[in-house]
Amino acid sequence: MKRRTASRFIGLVLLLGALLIGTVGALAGDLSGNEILARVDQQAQFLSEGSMIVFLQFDNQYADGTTSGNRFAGLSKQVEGGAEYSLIYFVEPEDVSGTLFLSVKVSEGEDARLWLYLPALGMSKELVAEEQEQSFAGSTFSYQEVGSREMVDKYDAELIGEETLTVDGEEHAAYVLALTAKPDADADYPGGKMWVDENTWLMLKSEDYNETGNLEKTMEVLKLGEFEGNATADQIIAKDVLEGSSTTITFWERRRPDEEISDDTFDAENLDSFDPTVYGLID
Amino acid sequence: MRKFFELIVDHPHITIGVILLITLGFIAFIPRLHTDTDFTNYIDKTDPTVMAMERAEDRYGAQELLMVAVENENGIFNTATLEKIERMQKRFEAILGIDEVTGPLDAQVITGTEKTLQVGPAASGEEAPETPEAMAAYRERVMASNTVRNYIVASDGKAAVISIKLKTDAKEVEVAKQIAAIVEEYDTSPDHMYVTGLPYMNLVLAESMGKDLRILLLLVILVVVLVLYFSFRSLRGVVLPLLVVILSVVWTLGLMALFNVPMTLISFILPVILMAIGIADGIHVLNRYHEETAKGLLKREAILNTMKEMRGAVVMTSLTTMGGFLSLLSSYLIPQRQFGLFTAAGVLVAMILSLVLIPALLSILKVPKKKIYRKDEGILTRALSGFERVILRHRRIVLIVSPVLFAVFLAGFPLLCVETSQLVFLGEENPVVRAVDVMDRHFSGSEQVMIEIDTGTRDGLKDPALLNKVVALQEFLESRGVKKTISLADIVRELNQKFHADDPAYYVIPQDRKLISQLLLLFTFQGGSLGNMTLGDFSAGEVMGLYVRAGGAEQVKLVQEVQEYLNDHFTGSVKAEMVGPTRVHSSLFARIAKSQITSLGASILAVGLIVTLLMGSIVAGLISLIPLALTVVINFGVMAYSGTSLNIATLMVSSIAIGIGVDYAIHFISRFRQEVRGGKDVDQALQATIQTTGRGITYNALALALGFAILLVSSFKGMRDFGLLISMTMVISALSAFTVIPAILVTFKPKFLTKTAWRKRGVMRKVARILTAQESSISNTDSQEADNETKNGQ
Repeated sequence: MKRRTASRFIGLVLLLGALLIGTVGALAGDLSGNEILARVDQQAQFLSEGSMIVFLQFDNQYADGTTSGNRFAGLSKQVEGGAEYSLIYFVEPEDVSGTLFLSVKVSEGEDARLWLYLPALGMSKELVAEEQEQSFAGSTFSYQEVGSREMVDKYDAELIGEETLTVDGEEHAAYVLALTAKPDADADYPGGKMWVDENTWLMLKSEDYNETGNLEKTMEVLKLGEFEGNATADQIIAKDVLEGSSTTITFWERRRPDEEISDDTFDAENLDSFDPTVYGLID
Repeated sequence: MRKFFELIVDHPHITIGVILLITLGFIAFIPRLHTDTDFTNYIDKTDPTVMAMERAEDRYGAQELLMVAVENENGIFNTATLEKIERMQKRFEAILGIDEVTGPLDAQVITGTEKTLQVGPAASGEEAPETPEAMAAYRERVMASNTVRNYIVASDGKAAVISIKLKTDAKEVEVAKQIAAIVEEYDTSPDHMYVTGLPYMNLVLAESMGKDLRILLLLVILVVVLVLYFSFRSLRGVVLPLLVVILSVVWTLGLMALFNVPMTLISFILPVILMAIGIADGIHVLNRYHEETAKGLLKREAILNTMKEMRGAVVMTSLTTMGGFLSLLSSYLIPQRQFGLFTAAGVLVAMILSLVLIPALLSILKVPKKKIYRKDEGILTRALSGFERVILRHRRIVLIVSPVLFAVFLAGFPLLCVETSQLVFLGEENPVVRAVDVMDRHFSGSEQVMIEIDTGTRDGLKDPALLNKVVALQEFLESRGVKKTISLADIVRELNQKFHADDPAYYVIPQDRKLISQLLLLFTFQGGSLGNMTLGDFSAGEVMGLYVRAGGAEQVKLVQEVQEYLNDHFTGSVKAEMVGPTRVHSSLFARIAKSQITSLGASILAVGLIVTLLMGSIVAGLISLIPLALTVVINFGVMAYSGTSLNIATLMVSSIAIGIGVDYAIHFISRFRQEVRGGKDVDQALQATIQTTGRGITYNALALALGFAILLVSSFKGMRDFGLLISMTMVISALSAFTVIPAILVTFKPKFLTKTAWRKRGVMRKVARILTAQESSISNTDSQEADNETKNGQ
């Protein structure tokens, strides 16, 4: 059973923070659907090396009519050689404040290891992920939803038209791609549609269709921003159309720390002594 | 009235044309007729138990799961069986309308060691293990999990269940049909597959109803044709009354479709019942017409004479029958109300068509050439006369034995059992019931208890004190026969234990609210599904329990005890309430007895009133009710002593029996009184009555008993019980009319036999006059039949 795990959302947090960035002034030309998809993937690689701090909020609207919200701060670091570190610090709600999720991927091609620190017990545990897809850091969900280099590996894209989308009050010309899962590719959905900003290669909207041909998930950029001179998606809504639930993700801030985040911060042994004030995660 | 019949006879083609047009109109509606087998729709939506269930469905999704049980006597822990499960599950997930599918491979299992914690599917990659080592590890994980063992996988390892949750707007029966088709493909030895759950039960019920209806309709048509053939020995004698009942069925089904009334577990037999009881009017009218033509009258006069003499009898017997069915309107169960109303409507249609269509058709057909001769009537009359002489000689014995019988069967009433479960209605041999037995045998049961705990505040369920109360509630449920319970408290306890290196000492609710929140955060962020255990904001959730199939009385007891416990232990702002099907069943059970008394009371009152008005005497009305009372008591007594439960079908037997059975008493008393008033002494009057009316009653009762007996071939046990009981009541009420009524009349010689009771003026006198005229017509018909028989016998 495919579960929409919250850990996937956490994976999404970091990836979105870094990946939903488009290069302004990109050239379009006469590109095929697959070439456009490859450009989206390339832009996903814009994740700059070095350290990054992201502040964001999840607002969940459940199918049962109830709601919940979480605020997080995320530290991430990517170094040469493919090592990736990320740490999620829970800010709100108060009863989970201080909870930490740590993901460490030593080198490219390896699975990330995950740790959880519970402040109520002052204890951390390594989380053994059953499969990489559902794990915290290596979420394919995020790649599938926001676009990554893996998209090209998993989907064939056909340019089926161009539309003008209004995002945050502004009109954006967008390529419309029809995606079809490649045979034997490990894609979550057999097909979908994607709207790609013609100027920034930023994915503005997506639709995922399930095996029965029904629309199951949508994702839409609600607010755009700018980071280091590039366009960013600052608010996104992901909807599970069949279930009737949705999550709105709002990025409050993206910033570079004054200096590189030390490797010790991403050491599982140091989770119990992590000080969020050092990085300005809390006052 | 004569002018009305003249109009019909003089314009037969217009009459037939109009009836044909109306019939075509109703036929056009029939395709819109739909079935409804969902028992929750059998109760008014305003019922608190239904409202609670619907509210729970809105919040938590479907309250009843579809379950596929896989049984393997050698154990399910082998690659072949688990691969089957894996493949089936993938196919289930692709069905539109499926919300969530959980099976033994992907059920969430939490494991913990000193340094690690794992929340993930029971089987690696949610795939069947392929090596012995992997299988052993999988088995160990599953059996060590409190939330999987005995819930998803049987503790003996010989069965597993795939639990399927449907979306609330799913087309349940359609989904169940697809599930059943997939399961059938994989149901190969040594694995045995069973489907259970309300959606599948509804599918089986709908399919069985359709199959039953086709067979029963064919049989009832066969019986009707045979009865008509032996009554008339002519084509027209078969075709005309048959046409009337077939059109009555078409009109009634069209009416149901027009008013969007579904076919239910009860009303699906409406066509069969209507054909069995609606045929009588046609027989009486046609019989009379043959008598009139035998006198040598011209066709037109013969028809008009027939209608003049027969209309009263046809109207009165139809009214009493309708009265019996309409008494079901006081029932608590919607299907019974619908069945009562539309069968009554059908009886009305049969009456109208007998009075309109038959004369129209007769007027365009040739006059029959010869007199119908029925040899068997002489034999029957002699047998009835002999029987009546014995009764007369031993009438005091009859008057003593009847109350004794009454008392003996009445004494059995405490043994009567009420059963609201659809499983009992289906019968033990039904595949759905066998599937439930498998669930009961290998797992903790198939019946579900759902309790909603609502704190009314966000994260309210994370309160340690409340979770400890939930643990206590689960222990209470388990002390009351609920075999397995699952709640948020179980998840929290399990996570706490696993986080503490799987130390069993930590299988407790942590006292720190923050720790509970953090453990739950861990669980959900690792993909753990909390399902119905909580709403998204943790303000409310459900505690679910499973128990082995129990009778209605046990369910009521469980619901009462649980609700008392909830009232005592969950106070203040926290609300705890039973929701779900068990509570609805329990409510149904508790109200059925009341519903039965109300329906019976309404039936007796309606019929008694009609008889009193007809006879112009309260005493006559009461005497007419005596054989009915005896019939009703014997019916319940037989049910009590034979262990036949009162269910949604058998509940209706008495009310219907009163409506139909009273005709015998009316016919008998009317004729007897007429003979006495005609100057005969009681012995002579009795002989005359038995030779005329007695024969009609016998034919009528036998035809109806035979018609209802067709239900014995139904695939539903509840309907077979209904058919047997109502056939029995037809015979008993006729026998009572032959024994108890003459014994009373001859012994006590009540005044109404010789005096006209109505002395009132105005409207009542008018009513009395009309009714007396109708009574006279009934008697005259019988008298005429007697004369004919005498002639035939010579």
